[in-house]
Amino acid sequence: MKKLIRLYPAAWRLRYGLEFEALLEQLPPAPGTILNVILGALHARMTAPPAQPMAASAEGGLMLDFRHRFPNPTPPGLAAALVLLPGALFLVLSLLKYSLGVAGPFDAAAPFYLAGRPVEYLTFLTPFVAFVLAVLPVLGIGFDRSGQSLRGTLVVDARPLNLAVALVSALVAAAFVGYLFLENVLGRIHAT
Amino acid sequence: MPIGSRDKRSEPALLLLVSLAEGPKHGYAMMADIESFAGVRLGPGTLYGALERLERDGLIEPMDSPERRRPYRLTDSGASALRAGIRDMHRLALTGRRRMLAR
Repeated sequence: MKKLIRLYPAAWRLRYGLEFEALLEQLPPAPGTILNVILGALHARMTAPPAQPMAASAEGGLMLDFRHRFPNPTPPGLAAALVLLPGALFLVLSLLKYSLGVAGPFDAAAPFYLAGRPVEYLTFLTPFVAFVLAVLPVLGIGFDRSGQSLRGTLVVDARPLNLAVALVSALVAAAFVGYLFLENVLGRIHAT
Repeated sequence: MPIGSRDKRSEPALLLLVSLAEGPKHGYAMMADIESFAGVRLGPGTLYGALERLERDGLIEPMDSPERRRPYRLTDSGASALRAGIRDMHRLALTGRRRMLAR
């Protein structure tokens, strides 16, 4: 049960980890207790104040700092989700039609999605734009040259909404690119 | 500070303050004490969530300890918050009792 302490934010573990571990050692590992610890960790992550960015080490190198701010997704994160929506919906409707044979929703949306080349291009671009919108605000990259060494700092502000949108955007983009590759490259090879 | 309010989330915090009103205790002692006087078995996650909040609000403070188990005690602010919470609950109980007697 002590391993569950790893679910808590690092700053929390630093402050309460030892005494919490001592408490868990005194309790039998009942399902209710385990669930309570997991829920406590979730609550701690949701309410944890953002961590201070780490100072780059004197030796140089790459520093990683994950910050959690669940209640406050960045406005670009919300914008990214909205931008992603048409592309993701198009993918879902396409999969429904061509993989599961449920053509109704796709056919209903087809007049919009297939209105012309500009709309098709825009739909194709949505996951890429959404990915950039979601990822840029949570990445902080800095370099500092002092003397002989170059120090780099990468701060990842791990806001769940931004990261979730980035992940889904990447999957949708991969599906679009994969489809284009299959259709235009392999299709032509096959045709010849 | 929502101690004694109708906010359900404040209940573990209030129980902890009542427990610490008797004297400093570490986590396990608080759990056992609360179970004995209130019949409520606080989970460890709930206990430390409330402890963290109370400490952040300055209502309790940790004491030095040579072992991993760290005792906590009420601060002056914590004692005031507890008094206010008990007063609110007392008023609530009196109102409820009066209205039930009038039925």
